[in-house]
This record gives sequence, structure tokens and C-alpha cells, in this order.
Amino acid sequence: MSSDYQPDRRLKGIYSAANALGEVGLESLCPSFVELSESDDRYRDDEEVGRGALKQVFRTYDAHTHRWIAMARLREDRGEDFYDLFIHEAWLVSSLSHPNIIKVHDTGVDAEGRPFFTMDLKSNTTLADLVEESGAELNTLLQVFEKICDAVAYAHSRGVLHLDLKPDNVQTDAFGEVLVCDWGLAKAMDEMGENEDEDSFLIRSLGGMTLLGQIKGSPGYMAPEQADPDQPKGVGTDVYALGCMLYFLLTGQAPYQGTAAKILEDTAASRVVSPRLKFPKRYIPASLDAVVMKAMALKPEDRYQSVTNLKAEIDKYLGGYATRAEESGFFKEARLFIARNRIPTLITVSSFLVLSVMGVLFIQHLSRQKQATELERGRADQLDSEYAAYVEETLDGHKELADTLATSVRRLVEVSILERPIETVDQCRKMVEVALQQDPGNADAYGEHFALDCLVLDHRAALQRPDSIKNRLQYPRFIRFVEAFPEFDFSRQKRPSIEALTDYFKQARILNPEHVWHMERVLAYDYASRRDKRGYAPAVEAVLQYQHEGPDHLKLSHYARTSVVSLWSDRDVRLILSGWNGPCLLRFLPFRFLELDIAGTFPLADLADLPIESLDISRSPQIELGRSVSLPQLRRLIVQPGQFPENELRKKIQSNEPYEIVEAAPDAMNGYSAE
Amino acid sequence: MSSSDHTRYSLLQRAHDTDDEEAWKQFVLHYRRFIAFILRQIGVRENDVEDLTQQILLNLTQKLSTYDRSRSSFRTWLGHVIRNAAKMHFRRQSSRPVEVYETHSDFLINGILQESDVDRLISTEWEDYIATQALDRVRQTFKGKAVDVFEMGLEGLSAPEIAEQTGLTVPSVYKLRTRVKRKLFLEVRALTEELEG
Repeated sequence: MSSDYQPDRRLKGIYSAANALGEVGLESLCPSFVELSESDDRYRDDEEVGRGALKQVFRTYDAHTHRWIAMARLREDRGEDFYDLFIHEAWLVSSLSHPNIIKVHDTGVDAEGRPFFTMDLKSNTTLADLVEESGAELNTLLQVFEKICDAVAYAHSRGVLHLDLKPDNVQTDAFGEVLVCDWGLAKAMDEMGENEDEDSFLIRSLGGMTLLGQIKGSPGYMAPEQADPDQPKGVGTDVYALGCMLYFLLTGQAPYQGTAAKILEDTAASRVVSPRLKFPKRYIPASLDAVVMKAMALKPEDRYQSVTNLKAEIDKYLGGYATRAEESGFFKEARLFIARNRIPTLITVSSFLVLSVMGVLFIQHLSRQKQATELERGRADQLDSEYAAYVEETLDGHKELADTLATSVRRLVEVSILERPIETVDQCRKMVEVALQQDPGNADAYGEHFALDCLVLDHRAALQRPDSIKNRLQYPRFIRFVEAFPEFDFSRQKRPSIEALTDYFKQARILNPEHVWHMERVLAYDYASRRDKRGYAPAVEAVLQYQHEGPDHLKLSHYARTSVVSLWSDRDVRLILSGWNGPCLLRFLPFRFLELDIAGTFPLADLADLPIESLDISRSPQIELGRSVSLPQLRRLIVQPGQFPENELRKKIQSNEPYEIVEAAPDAMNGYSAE
Repeated sequence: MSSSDHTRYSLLQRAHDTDDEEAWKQFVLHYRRFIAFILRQIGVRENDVEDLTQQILLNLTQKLSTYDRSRSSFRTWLGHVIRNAAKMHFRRQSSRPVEVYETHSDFLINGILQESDVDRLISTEWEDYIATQALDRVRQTFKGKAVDVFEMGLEGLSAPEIAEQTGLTVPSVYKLRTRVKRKLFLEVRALTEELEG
């Protein structure tokens, strides 16, 4: 993948030529530079995708950012009277920044002098399509609805009313993205009321116009007060529309049906039949039925007083539901899938395993990205189902299944070995066994067995694996370690002495210093399996030395009685070996006081969440504060005078306790450690 | 006209200042290829390239917070990080007792791995890298023969020759060539800002 780059030598000198030019030079080189920055050159290949009362929307290529965007232009038949109104929408949306509200990128005036603005171009499926065509589950729809509520609640908090909420104005896609669009009728709240100027008059006449248009085309979603231009609109107006949308989600139909006149009449009186009464055969939860009716109360004061209140009701419902769903969802799917395919029992077992591994991966994916957006979650969902479909497809061949299992094993190890070493190894062994039942002699499966042998230090077993593993990638990676310690026959119950383990790490570094991640895994598994964990520091030190060029460059001392760890190195030091989010290697030691004596750099963030009470960084001049780090139990921080400004320290190092910052006395520099 | 301000916020800053997943991904995507290419250039064995690239990316992302744009250009700094990692890598390998190296890494340690040479290599390769990427982008925005015409020019063909081969008129060859060049320049500048800014 990384080998596909080849430099184009013909372009020598282009870089410096291009970057050496000042703005003036650029302009003289490119006489049309100014022109280029104009819309004409920037936006091309318009194709109309939608049309409203005020604007037309085109699918347009943006040459500056190299992507397709949506370009809104004032409708050709709208004259100058509407210019400001049109730009007003763009500015209003620009002022809103929310993941569920469409984004405006650029506002301007085109070559003909007419205003335009550009927005994200998303899928052209709307919430209406989602309900009518795909028949999505209620649960999914409610989650979409909650996002709409979020967007509207946010807009309200910024003093903006939408006033035209309906399923057609909400874009949704297969990845769970939800965007509230079409803010053409939106209004800033402080513009409402007595001092209506010319603009609002235009809005009103326009509002009336779209209103009629809507009634003609599709059933209405507006509140009673919108049927009468003279009545005040407010938060309740949007709440009402959201009630209508919820009605639609539950029933598949808009609350008002019939001729335009009848809809207008029914709307004005809020003459609506509750979903459960109108659709007795449909499953509609009573609690949601009540929510719809309250949101659609005739008088605004009888409705939910805020969109947040409305959303809280949906939350309550979903909260109760989700716990049941958790039980059924995943495994129900798996069971159905097996029943559907009448798969023989043996494969059933393994597919359960595959599916549950996917479940594990999926959950880990979620937990690792606590702040993952809904969008990403949607993607993970999709991956999950794609994978299930893939398994379904390939189940015909036992060999494929065996290969899949072997791959799953590798992924499972990648993902969870550090957090749950024992469980991970057990699960992996089981999966490998099933793989071998499917396809006896499967070399990948044996390769995984071999890798697991190396991980638990059962080298005797490793040496007895069939020759077919020799061309698997695990073999060259680990075989030298295995051959150096052929007598190792350890297991979860039988662990090596700490001396033997330490010696293994030391020798391993000399044999091949490139596999620090493997060493960390061996250590993690050993630590988890070991009953008596006392005196563990030498093993941890050996792994750290493996990473930091050997015992001459790093030393770690642990004084169990005084709970002190001190770490010396003349190199750059990392205590997180597996990427930037992994766990810190010092987690294997019980200590409360840490002294760092590091000549090279050291990212303090590597200590995140360790239960350190006292930290001495005064002898580590190159420590990097970097991102902020949480040391929940820190009470005392020892620094060199002038090492860091105090406010920076307090900003970057956070504790649940109030901690003191102490400056090390100069003459204490050499008095080292509590020996 | 406001040309979307958020793209001006360089990848580097985004990757550094925020926990922006997308920025990280982009960051890795852009730098991985270049780093791997450099490592191959200076003789890191194919087997080790992937691992070492990974390591350097980790270093980079870790050290991003210490990069001070007022002290050195991003290119210099990037070169520094790559060079140090490579040096460490070679040193580790040469200390291996048994394994014999048939690559020219020995030569590298004593010869080309002089700091200034490597820095120069990285610096010029970086320029080519940006220019190559820019041309890729340009290819995607022009339809028809425009980019072909430009590339023929790069290969030394004269405008009349190009006109003959492509069936275009000489003036339109000039016009197309200028347009592509202009676009290329702009892309180089944009990429420079994005990746070094």
C-alpha cells in the first residue's frame, strides 16, 4: 500500500517556483488568478436537484475543494425583492453550527450579479424516503428523530425558529447521518412580533405561498398558528411540527389528510386523531402516542415547552427499550441467520464464535471511541452487517470458514490482548480448534496456535506444530525466541520464575530487538496469569530495556516498602509501547511515588491515569507536557525552579485532589532516591 | 469572496490541536507514503519499512506538540524525526550479533547518513512529493487533453509538436498548458500550506 508512490521527476523545481511567488507574481503568472477565485471558475457542472419557493438547488462541482457540493441559487423568476431574503437564509444557517444542521460553505454573488450560497451535498434521501421506502425499524427512526430534536433545540438556543419542519426537509443516509435542511422560512426570534418590517412582510407572503404549495403537494406539518399569518409563532410552532413528524414516523402517514381546504381547516383547529385510535392494528406504544398528542396540542402553552422536553420523553422510551434490545438484537440475528440457512451444528458453533468475535470487536470499537459521533457508529453497524453477510456467503466452504476464523483470531489478539489477556487467549484457542475441525491441517490456524504458544511461552508445544507453519508470517517472527528457550513449557497455571522471565526478555532483545509489542503481550499475559505478583519490577524493567536499547540506557527501581518507583534513562523514553492510546507499562507495579530521571524526551501523557500520589520531574529537563494528562490521585509535584510556568502545569496535569507544586532545592539534586 | 476558511486551518494544526479523528487519518495517509519512500531510498530493508514507518508516524504524532514552527520549517523538522529514527534503526541492526547484512546500510551509516546529506535528500524528495501529489490532483480536475498536453510539454515537446500529435491548434496548446500550469502552481501552494502550514 505504501509502495505505490513514485515521484514524478519531471516536476523538479515546480515546488520552489510555485512557493516562491508572491501574490503579485502569482497574478502575473496567472492573469486569471483573480477570475479563478470567482464563482464562475470555481463552481461548474450544475445539475438541478431540487426547487423550492425561493430557490433552486444544484449539484455542483467545487474546483477549489474538489468535491461535489449543493449550490443554492435564487429561483430565476424571483426578482431583486428576494435577494436579501435569500441571503438571509444563508447567513442564518451560517450562524448555526451543529452536526445535524446542514452547513453553508460559501455565500456570494455570481457573474450575473445574483446571490448564491453553497452547502454540503448529502444523499438525496429524506426522512420521508426512509419511512416510506425502506421500512426502517421504529427504534432507528426514533434515533433519527432525536437527532432532529437536537438540531432544532440547538437552533432555538441560538434564537432561531425553523417553521418549516417536515420529513422532506430532513436528509438521512445509510450511515446514520441526519441533517435538518431548508431553513428558507426560518426566523430569528428577536425579529418576530410587533416591529415587523418589509422583510417579514415578504417572508409572510412567501410563507403563505409555500404553505399553499405544501397543502397542494403533500399533507401539512404546520402548526395551527401558521394557518393564520397574524398569529405569533414561537418555540411551540416547531414543537408542533415535530409532533407531526413523530406521528408520521409511528404511522407512516402525515396527521392531516384530504383536500387542501380540509387540511387547512383541520390544522387550524388541530383536529387530529391519535395514532393508536386511527391505526388500531399497528403497533404503537402508548407512551409515544401520548407524546404525539401533547406535542400537537392546539394551544402552544399546552404543548411541550421546549424541544428538549420533548426529546427527554423519547429518551425515556428508548432507554427502557434498549435494555431489551441489547439482549435480543445481536444474538437473535445470529440465531435467525443459522435457522435460515439450516447450517449443520458444527458450523453453527463456529459461526456463533465468529459472530461473537465480531460483537467483541464492535463493542471495543465503540468503547475506544467514546466520543464517536453517531455517524461513526452507523458505519460500525454497517461493517458489522457486511461482515455477517460475508460470513453467510462464504459459509459453503469449510476452508474459507477456517481461514476467516484464523484471521479473526489475529484481530481479536490485536484488539484485546492487553486489556483481557487470559480471556483473549482462551477464546482464540477455541476458535483455532474449531477452525481445525473445519479444515484439519489448515496452516493459518496452526500458525495462530504457534503464535499463541509463543505468547504464553509454551515453546515445547510451539516446536511440535506441523512444518506447514514455516511459511506463515508468525514463524520467522518468533522462531528465534522459541529456539533460544526450547525448554519453556509454560501455561496459564504454570508460570516461569520472574528471573527466568526477565532473562527471556533480555536474551530476546539481543536476538531481535524489533518485537517490542510481542514482549509487552507476553508480559501482560504473564502478569494476568501469575498469582504472586510480588517482585515483578525486573520483568517490567527488562521489557522497558528491550524498547530502550538495553540495560545501559534505562534502569527501573521499585522499592515496594516505600511504594517508590524511580526510572533513569539517557534516552528518549516511552512507557506506552502500543501506539498512543495503549496502557502504560508501569501499571504492573504497585507504587505511589514516582521519580523520573530522564535525559531525553518523555511525554508525560504516558502516565495517564496511574494512581501516582507524588511525582518528581525535577531531574528530567526534556519532559513534554503535550496533551493534558489526568493523574487522579496526585497530591505533590516536584519540579525544577523555572522548569514550567505553574499555570501551564496546572492546566496540563489534572488531579482529583488539590496538589502542591514543590520546587526541588538545588542542593538536593544529587541526593537520589529512598534507598 | 470567502474561500472556505476551514481548509486553511492546516492538517498539521488540526492533527495537533484537536482530537480530530479525521485529521489523524489524513495525517497518516499523507505522511505514510512519503516516509516509507524515504526509508527505502536510504536503504532500509523492505521487511522493516512498514514497521519503521509505523514507528516514525507514532513519533511524529507524539512529538507534534513540541514542534515549534518559529524555530524550523516543518520540512526540516520532519527530516530530523525521520533521520533519527533511521539512524537508531541502523544502529540497532549493526549491533545484532549474527545476522549479516547484504544491503548497503553499512555504507549508509558511514557515508550517506551524514546528517546534511539525509536532510538534503528528505528536503528535495519532499518537494517532489508535493509536486507529484499536486499533479495528481490537477489530473482529477481537468477533462480532455489538457493534462496530456502539459505532460508532453514536461517531456520536452514543443507546442507545434504537441499540436500535431493531439490534433489541437497551437494557440489552444499554449492555452491548455498555461491553464494546467497555473492550476498546478496553485495546487502546490495549497498542498504546501496544508501539509507544512
